[in-house]
Parts: sequence; C-alpha cells; structure tokens
Amino acid sequence: MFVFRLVSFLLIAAFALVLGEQAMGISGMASTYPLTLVTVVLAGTLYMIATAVAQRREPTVLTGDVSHLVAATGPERLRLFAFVILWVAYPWLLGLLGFIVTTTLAIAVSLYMLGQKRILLALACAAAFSVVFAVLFMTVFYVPVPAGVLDDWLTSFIFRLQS
Amino acid sequence: MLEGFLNAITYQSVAAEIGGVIIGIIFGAIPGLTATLGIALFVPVTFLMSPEHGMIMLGGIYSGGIFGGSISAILINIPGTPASIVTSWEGHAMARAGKAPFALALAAVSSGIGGILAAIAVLFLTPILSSFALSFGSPEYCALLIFSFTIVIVMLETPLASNLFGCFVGLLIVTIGIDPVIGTPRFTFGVVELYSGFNLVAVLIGFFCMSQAVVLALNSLKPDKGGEIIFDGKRPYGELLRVVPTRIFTYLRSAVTGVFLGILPALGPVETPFISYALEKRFNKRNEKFGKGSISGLIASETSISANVGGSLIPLISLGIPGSGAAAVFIGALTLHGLQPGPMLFANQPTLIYSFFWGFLILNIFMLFFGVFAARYCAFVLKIPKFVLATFVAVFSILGTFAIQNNMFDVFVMLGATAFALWFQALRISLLPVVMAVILGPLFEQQIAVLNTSYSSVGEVLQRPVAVVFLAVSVLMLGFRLVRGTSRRGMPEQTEV
Amino acid sequence: MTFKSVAVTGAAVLFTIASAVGASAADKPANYPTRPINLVVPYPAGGGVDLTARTLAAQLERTTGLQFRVENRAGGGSTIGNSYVAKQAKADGYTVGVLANPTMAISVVQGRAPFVKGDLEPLAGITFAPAIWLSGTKSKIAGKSFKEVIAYAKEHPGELKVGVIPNGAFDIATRILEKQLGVKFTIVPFQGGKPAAVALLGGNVDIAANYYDEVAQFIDAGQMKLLAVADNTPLSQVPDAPTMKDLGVKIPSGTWGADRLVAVSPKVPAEIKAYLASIINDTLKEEETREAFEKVGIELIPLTAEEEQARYNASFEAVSEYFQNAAH
Repeated sequence: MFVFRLVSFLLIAAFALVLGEQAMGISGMASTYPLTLVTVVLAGTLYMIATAVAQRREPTVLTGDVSHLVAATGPERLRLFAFVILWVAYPWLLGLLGFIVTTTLAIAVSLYMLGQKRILLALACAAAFSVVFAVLFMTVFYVPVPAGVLDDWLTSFIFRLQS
Repeated sequence: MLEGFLNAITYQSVAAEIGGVIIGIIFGAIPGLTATLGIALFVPVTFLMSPEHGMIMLGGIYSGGIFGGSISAILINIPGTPASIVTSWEGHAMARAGKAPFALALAAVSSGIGGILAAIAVLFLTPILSSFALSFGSPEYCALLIFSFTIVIVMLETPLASNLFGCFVGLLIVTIGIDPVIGTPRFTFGVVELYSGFNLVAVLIGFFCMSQAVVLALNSLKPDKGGEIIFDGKRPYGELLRVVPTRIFTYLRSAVTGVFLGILPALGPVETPFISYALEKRFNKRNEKFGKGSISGLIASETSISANVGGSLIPLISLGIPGSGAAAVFIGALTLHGLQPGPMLFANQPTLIYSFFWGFLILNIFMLFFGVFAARYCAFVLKIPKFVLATFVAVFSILGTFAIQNNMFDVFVMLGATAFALWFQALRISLLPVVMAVILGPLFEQQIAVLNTSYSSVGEVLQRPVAVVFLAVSVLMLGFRLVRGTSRRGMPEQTEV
Repeated sequence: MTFKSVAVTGAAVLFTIASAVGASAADKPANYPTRPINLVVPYPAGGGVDLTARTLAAQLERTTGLQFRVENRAGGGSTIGNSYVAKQAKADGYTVGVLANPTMAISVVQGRAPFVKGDLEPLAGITFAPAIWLSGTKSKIAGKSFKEVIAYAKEHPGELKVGVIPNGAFDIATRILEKQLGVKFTIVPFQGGKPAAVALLGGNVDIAANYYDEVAQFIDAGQMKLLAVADNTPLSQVPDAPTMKDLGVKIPSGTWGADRLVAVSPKVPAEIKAYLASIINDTLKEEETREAFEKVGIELIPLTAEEEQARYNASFEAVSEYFQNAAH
C-alpha cells in the first residue's frame, strides 16, 4: 500500500513537472497561473509523500467502493475484470463494427458474464435494445453514432419508408 | 401578468407542463443521460408547437430531468444528472436506512418548493435581480469562487491538507485546454480533442456513473451484505408533514443561495448544491449527521438546484445570457422560434414571457405532487437485477457521453475519469475538492485573467465590498478549520465520499 | 404555423417553381440522396452557427423536400467539427459543413488544425457579420462618437478597457485598430462575446467587440452604443455607423467578422457538389429564406460558390499576413 501511494504521488508530481516545463514556454502573464499551480501541487506531493512515509507502518483501511473492488477474489475478480475490459473495448469496437452489431454483442456478453445464464435471452434483449435505440437515434434524436453496414442499411430503409 | 397566468393553465399548456416533466424525469433518471442532453434532443420537437408551449415543455424537461436525476441518486446511488451528486449522499443513505419513499418524496417536495420560490422571485424581481447580476464583476467572481472552494474544503472531515491537495490537482488538470489570456491551446500534447479541455459532463459521468457501474457489476457477482434496500412499506406523508415545516430556514437559505447563484451567468445547477450543502453544514444548528442521511442536507441540495434553475431564467430571458449548457440550448431554441432573448423581448412580448414564467411555476407544483404521490412507484428500479443495472448503466454512460458533443474522445475521457475516481479513492483523497476544482477551475482562471488585465492595483479590488466580504469569510472559515483541526488531531478519519 | 406544415406546403409550391426554373439548376444525381443529408456544425447547439445551420436545414427541406439534419460536432474550439468535414467523414455528399471563418482560418494558419486550406471546398456563403465596437452607458466614454473615443484614448493611453475574445476576430481587429491609429487600449480577455457584453453592461469594461445580431437589442434599448464597424462596407441595419474606410484605417474587407459558409470535402463527387451548390444557392436566393433568417436575427448575404471561394481565400491570406506581421 505504501508503494502504491508513493508511486501515485510521484506520478502526480511528474504530471505537474511536465506541465510546468511546458508552461515555461508560454510568454508573459499567461504563464503565471499554471506555474503557480504547478508549484503548489509539487509542494503538495512532497507533503503527501512525507505523510505516506510517516504512516508506512500503519495498516491502511480502505473505505467505500474501492474496498469492495479490492476485496474481490477468484472468479469474481476475473469477471469484474472482463466487465471493465468489455466496456473499455466497446467504444473502440463501435468504430469498426457499427452501432447495432457492437451494442448487441456488448450487452449480451455483459449480461451473460454477470449472471444471465440463458445466452439466447440475453442476445434477444440486447438486439431489441440496440435496434430500438438505433431507430430513435436516426429518427428523433439525431445522434450520429458510428455506423456499420447494418446501420447504413437501416438508415436507407427508414428513409425509403418516409419518402 | 394575469394574461400570462391564464395562458399557462390552458389545456395545451398543462399538457406541455406534465409531458415535459415526465419526459424529463425519464431522461434524468437514466444515469448517463443528462437534463441538458434531454433539452438539446427535444429542441427540434418543440418546432411543432407554439413558442410558449415549446418553452414550457423544455422548462419541464429541464426541471423534471434534474429531479429525475435524484431518483436514481437516491435509489441506486448513481446521480442521474450531475446536479444530483450531492443528493445521492444523503438520499441514498436514507434509502439504505429503509426510508427510500420518504427520501424520494422529500426530494420532490424540496425541489418543488425551491422551484416555486424561484419562480416567485422571477415573476416579481427580475428587473432588480438582473441589474444585480450585472454588477458582479471579476473581483466578485474571483472572491465568490475562492469562497466556494474554501467552504467545500473545510466542510469535509478528511484531512485539510489532502483536501487542499485534491483541489489544486483538479485546478491543474483543467488548465489543459484553451489559455484564457492568449486564446491558444496549451498542455494538449498535440491532441486536437484537448484544445478546449476535458468535457466537464464527461468527467462527471465518469466520476459518478461509470464508477458505480463497476461497483454494481461486483455486487451482482457477490451480493453486498446489508446493501439491499428494503422498504418498510410506510407511506411518507405523515413524516413529510412533520418535517417540512420545521425546516423553513433551511428552505429559505437554500432557495436564496440557489437563486443568487442562478442569476450569475457563470454558475449553474451542477455547482450550486455543493455550495448550498456546505453552507447548510456550516450553519445548521440541528447537529444532524451529515453524510448519514441528513434531512437538512437533502433539502439544501434539492431546493438549491431547482432554485438555481429558476434563478437562471432571469439573465437568460432579460439579458439573453446563458448560465449553463442547458440554458444556452434554451436560448437557441427561443431564437429559432423567432424570439431573441434580451431586453427587447421583455418589452415586446410580455405575455409570452409571463406565460412561460407562470408555466414554470405550475410545472414545479406538478413535479411536487408527482414526487409525493408517484415517485414511490419508481422503487421498481430496485427490483431490476443488479447485473442488468450494471450493464445498462455502462451502456447509457457511454452513449450519453458520446451524445454530448457527438465525439468518441469524450467517451475515453469519461472512462479515464472513472479510473481517476477509483485511484483517488484508493489514495484516500476525497474526490469532492477535485470535483469542485474541475467544475469551477476554468471559470476561476478566466476571471483571474480579466481581473489581472483590468485592475492595476490591489487597492482597486479592495474597494469592491462584496468581494471583500467573500474573501474575509473564506479566510475566517479556513482559520477556524485550522484551529479546530489541530485541536482534534487523532480523531479517526472518515472518508465521506 | 409549424415547420412541418411549412415543409409540406413549401414542397408543393417548390414543385411548381422547380419545374419552372429547373433548367438553371444542376441535375439531381442518380441515386442521391438515399438518406438524410447531415449539416455538420462544429459548435454546440444554441450558438450562432448552429442557428444558421438549423434555419438553413429547415429552408432546404422546404425547397427540396429532402431531409436535412443538423449534427453538432463541437469540441476543440471548432477544430473537431472542421476537420471532421474536411478529412474524417466519408466524402459521399452526406456530410456538409456549416462552418465559420476566420476562426477556422486562424487555427489552420497557426498550425493547430489537422487539415489544410485546400481540404475544404466552399459551396456557398450564407452571411458575413463584421465585428463591431460598442460602448456602454456606465463608461466614462458613454455617448461619445468613435472619433471622440479615439481622441480620449490618445490622451489617456491604456485607460480604456476593451473586452474581446483572445486570438479571435474581435481581438485581432482591435489590435489592427490600435496599431493604425496609434492608440493604446487595455485589452481584457473574455471567453465569448456574451461575457464581454455582460461586462460592458455592468460597466466593467468601456468598449466591447461583438456582432451586430448578438447585441442589436441592447443597442435598440439604449444600453450600448455602436461605435464603429471593423469592415469597409456599412452595416445594412445601421448604415450611418462609421466603417474603417470612413476612418482611414486599412483593413481587409470581409475578414474580421463572422463568415458563415457551407463547405464540403473536395473529394465529394463533382455532380453531387454541383447539385448541392445549386440547391443551396437557389434556396438562399429566395425571399422566404431571407425572411426566415431575419426572424432568427441573421441578415442573409448569400454568395455563390465562386464568390465564397474568393472570400475564403482572401480570409486565409489576411490571417496569415496578420500573423506574419505580428511575429515581427
């Protein structure tokens, strides 16, 4: 835990230093505000590191959500990890496969992984959700989610229905 | 004014009021979809309506959206809109104590009262308040912002040093983006998407919604002992009637704070509840346990939000100046109806404006009754299995973030913010000062830039009494906390948020 | 009257007009459009460019009966949306930008945009609003004419505060003015025209730059006074406000203001470009379109593709010239 805190504060200090280095390149008055902040944050990290060093023997009690997350073990931890990976990958996949396909797959996999054991039911719900939202985005809300082959086909289909 | 009132109670107006509120509540209650997004998406729909009904409906979507955010905040600890972050602390704690119906009803009543008080201020005090808003220059803004940072920092029970540290880290992070003095991007490392900085709403969705999706996912895998919310089945009316009249001063304090921050064009419903809540915690004499389901805390948050929404109508209509992203969309919608907000709109179209103001008052009354009698049925949310909730909170967080600017980069910012929130929690640094700094930092630097260029000496600034008062109070509060903090060293630390 | 019903009746009326003037319009390409056409706006909903695009979309729907949608791709101070139209979007004619100069030109010239001038091809000009300077009633120069203000500024260098948006048209026009007239202002940076207007109303600055459309109500209500126009053509709404030509200040025409234009990627097939340009230009020429724009407070000044291309080029030249001179 001590190492984690130390590394974290060093990261923050590094971030401040990088911004500080760039702020030096800004001319005149405009650099005062960021440089002041950089100085204060650097001083703060020093203080936080000093506190962490002083408390390094004390057991750290985590509270709140993080304590639950850290306490996860075995298959739970694996599934939780997969859940996180899935939703981080989702925005990337959207650009490749388009909205309907990606969303259907992501929701179905997420539901299956977290507890819905009937994969067909999960797929059906996911597909229904995706199509309904795709139509809403196209006709009412005009949200330009990335389109794949299926989405383009649906757009043209709706357009033909309307005209 | 009377004609405006009569316009606001025709059946079309009432339909717009109820319809708007219900659409808003649905939008607001879904985590990731914000009230602002609701308005933006429904602007084209209002073209099919007359201007006053369109405006009333958008007003309903906004107010309803902000209240809807509180429903998910209370029931599942996920603020449906960024404005309901504060509500989630007290409201969810109440729900965990088995008092979800009461918390929902109290939120609705407080929201309604705040909106009604603000609507009254808007109806009768608009000219005075808009000239007051204009007198607020950069010295006042800087002082008010320092005051806001200070009150949040001293309010938290976590160590003062780590609160300050969090605040400054937040301020430093939001220097990424446009330089307010030169007008060119800085610290962007060549990333075009960073030229105007991180999108605030994306960051807040990451901090408060997506992080909860992860927690919900874990809870669905491993049921959290004692985490299930059970209703006691009691109807909340008796307790409401008993509690509300005793909190008159809390209501007044919060409503005044909300309207005051609302008329300032730069402070919107996201930042208001933090300030109102911190003030309440500082000045409440009841010795309530804040953070553990405090009634006054919930009232302070909800009342100030809807008072802020009402108050922001004043600069919006009378000066054409938006106080928040939602208000900017509102102005665009008004203009598309051929009504440009500004001093002449009031002079030329008083009936229309008063119809809208009365409509706003009436829709708040509807919202109040909806909350008292119908919000209990929202408890069906708790019947939804956790794995379904986790999945859909994740989907909506991502799609809602994308839809803010139709930009996939914002989604990655949101995911990054989720990681940041968990990281800081593991470091035991309260996220709140960071949130305050992220929300208010850009405004703070802009105002400092204006102050710096337009005032040559400190003496000139000290001639502005409002600014001096805010600064003096900030210094005093910080001083008190320092004294108290040292005398109580050794007390167990508690992480609140 | 709703937009839908306007669209329906408009479409019927148009049908007769279109068949009458059909010879002049470019031919509709085969198999286009098969879906709605997106007007991409690089700013959030509710602003001036967004209003322009939404009004244009409604008018195009009225005249053509096709579907047009406004898509806000904000962020990066308009660079995201601009480069989306120029580079990322498929050049299939379904992505049409409603963009604004000189903001775009400034970002390209300063090397902050991932595209170059030639990556966009203007199809039409919608409007040009020059920057104007205004004084407030609470200022010590209240009521003074522009020449009197300049005389005051010469006697009191640095005393008058001018609210501008840094690195934008207002800022640059003010600096050109300072240089040419030999005066010194205190330039106060605001993040937008509205905050500067508030500061002017509250007496926190003496002069603010803005666009006429945005502040017309305050001028009419007597809360602001129009001092001068940062262009060489008089404003049609206030023809007697002095222009830079009247005052002997050398400034390029049609640059330091808001040039709202329609542009696409040059890679869009030629017949689609020609078709889009012809429907947009025909629509902009109509009286009903002019009235619709007037209703939202925008004065329509339509330019054809060639005319807008000339202004687009001139704007880029003026911006690079300004920054070259500023560097020395």
